[in-house]
Amino acid sequence: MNTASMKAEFRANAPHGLHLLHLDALYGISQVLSRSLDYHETIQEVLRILDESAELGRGLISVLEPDGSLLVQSVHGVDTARLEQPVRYQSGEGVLGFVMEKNRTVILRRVQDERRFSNKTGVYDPDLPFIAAPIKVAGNLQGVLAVQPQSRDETFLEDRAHFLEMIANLIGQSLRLSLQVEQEKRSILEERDLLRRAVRHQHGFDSIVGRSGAMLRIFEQVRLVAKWNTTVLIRGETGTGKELIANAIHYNSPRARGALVKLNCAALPENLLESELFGHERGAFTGALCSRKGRFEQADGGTLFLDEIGEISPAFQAKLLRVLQEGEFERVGGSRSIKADVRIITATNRNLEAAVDDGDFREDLFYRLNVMPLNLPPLRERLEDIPDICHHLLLKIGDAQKRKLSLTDAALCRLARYDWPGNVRELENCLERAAVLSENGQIDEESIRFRGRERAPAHPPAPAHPPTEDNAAHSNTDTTFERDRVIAALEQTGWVQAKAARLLNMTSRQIAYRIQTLKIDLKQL
Amino acid sequence: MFQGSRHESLYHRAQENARLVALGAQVAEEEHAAALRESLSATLFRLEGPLNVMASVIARLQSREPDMAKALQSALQEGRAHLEDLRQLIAQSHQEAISPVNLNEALRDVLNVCTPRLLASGITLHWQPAAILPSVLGRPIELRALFKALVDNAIDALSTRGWKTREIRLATRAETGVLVSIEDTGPGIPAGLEIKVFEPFFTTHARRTGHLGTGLSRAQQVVTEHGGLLDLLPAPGGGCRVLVELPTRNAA
Repeated sequence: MNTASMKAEFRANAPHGLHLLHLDALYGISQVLSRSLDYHETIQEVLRILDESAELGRGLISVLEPDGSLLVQSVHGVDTARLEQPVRYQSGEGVLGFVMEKNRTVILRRVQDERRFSNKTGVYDPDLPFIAAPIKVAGNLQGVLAVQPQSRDETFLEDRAHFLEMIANLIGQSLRLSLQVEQEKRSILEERDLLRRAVRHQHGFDSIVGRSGAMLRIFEQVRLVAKWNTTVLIRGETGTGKELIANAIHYNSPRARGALVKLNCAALPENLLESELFGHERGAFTGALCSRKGRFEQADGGTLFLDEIGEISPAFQAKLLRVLQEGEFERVGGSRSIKADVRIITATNRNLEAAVDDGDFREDLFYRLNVMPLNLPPLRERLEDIPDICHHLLLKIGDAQKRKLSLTDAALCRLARYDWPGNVRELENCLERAAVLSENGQIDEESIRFRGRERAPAHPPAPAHPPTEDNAAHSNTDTTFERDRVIAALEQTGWVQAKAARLLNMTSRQIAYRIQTLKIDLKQL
Repeated sequence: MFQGSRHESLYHRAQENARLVALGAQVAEEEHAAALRESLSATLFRLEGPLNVMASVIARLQSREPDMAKALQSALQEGRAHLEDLRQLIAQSHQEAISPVNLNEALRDVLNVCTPRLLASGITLHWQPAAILPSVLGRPIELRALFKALVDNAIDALSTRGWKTREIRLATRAETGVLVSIEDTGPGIPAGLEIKVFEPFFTTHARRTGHLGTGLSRAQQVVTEHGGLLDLLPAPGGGCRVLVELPTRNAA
């Protein structure tokens, strides 16, 4: 037996070893492919396994670009980002281009024997073989997978090529999925940006109407305050549009891409408020089955709007002060301090100075909140804005009712004579009611009904709408004040008595009694 | 005949050059004034916060130490009056007339002005204007200064020493409004600074370079004043993408 036949003998047993090697690599690759959807990470891993377990080094993946060329995405052991410029192959150019053109596997016994080989990446050993296999998705070529076996032994090149085709098929699926995911992600992102822009338009300055000097000053302040991360305190009577201003600040600020999270501090009892705002850990209290992010964390990178800030308890004021000072807080039942990058906008209709005097509100917290106060004027102090506001509101209501609404001059005069204890919100509700009553979309004097008392009109009101006239409230200013207060609260809560009761610190029984004694018309829904 | 048309084209070119030089000066002046305005109004605003706190403290002090409160109150009033004077000054200084602006034209002007810098930094520019673009209502010079500032920002981002891929993509698109996108292949905005970069006086440059750091904050304001939106997004390639959307004439 001569040496040549001995070698042959040896190799006759070797396929088994090579197959074991391939099987091992295949197992590793299958694991990687099933693990993650991040395509780039997956590809790197696959190339690494090919190199380490299957003796196939310098793995290269190129992908078909929309313009019909092959773009080299990654080469094992080479940082593609550091290449001078992206490496591309046109169809038929170099060996990769040849594979793309013919759509079949190519085996080179020795790289330097093939003139076609262009070695654009410059990492291939001219003395070693080279294998390139097409990556097909549903029969169409989507890319090329190429490797360089790390031995000069030519005997098993066919086996290796067969193995490489197998891997290319596996990658094909993952490539298809990743392309799909990426495309869907892009279209979702585009849609999100479109929606976001639409929302920003809706909540920008367009939705706040007013040309009075007081409002122009407010706009100017909002514009300035939007640029900074300052805490803002919006003050104004109920229904003056504090929430709209908060919207305008958020959506005109660089934080517009983040979330605007709102919380009405009066709407929740204290213990709930804390877990709602700061979140809670699992098992913090009965029923806390899992940990939960609070509004503060949800608003990270965005804005947190705390409405009715004057209603919070002293204990809670202390906690809030700490967050404002240190920018840190803990979840309920947790010990880990959490940091959140949040701009805080607060709002109240209460006289906080008086609350501080009475000891209901912490002085230090008040100073912190009052750094940038925005005082919204009540509607009765900017009656000149009523025509514009009505026009805007009628467009909005008309949009919802899908018809064109208009207002007679007489009706407008009547609106301008009222005191508007519930401010713009009451005006909106009033117009909405009137619009429902109107058959042809024309709102006249008759269809407008107020819940509070009207200022002395220039001419006596038509007898057709007497509900406010035979009202005992006329004589007694105390009852009128009470009546205004109850109505304002009801307007604010959308005429839900239980909620209004909470705002007024009453029980629902008390508010029902007042509605009866003050002869307030309940909104018919 | 041939001679005549050649003269004519030379004449046009000279005219166009003169226009561009004048425009460049105008834009530079506007930039300078805008930066000054922006820093003044930012300073005004920053002074307002402490004054407000003082005001609320004085209000509390009134009941306990009326005399002290009175003295402080008059000092505060004086301070506020000075600030108000300054505010009036800023408000008056700015009066450019509003007219229809074709953003494709405005951007081309900006590119012309920026060309020397683009060439010097070895930046490849991809300019993809929409074929038909409705005009927007706005202040022509102010808008040009706005886009110049954004393009300058992109150039700055790419001018890091040793940065390899230097490309800027500038595109316009007609959608609900007019959309301008300025994309660079620079390093992008460092995480955690996405909001901070809009704050007046924020700059990534060293103070001594003379950057006031009012660029983005000013840009945001100009866009808001034009009824539009400005968005800062990560670009697909890892750089930075600025989207400016301005309402068209009909919508406004």
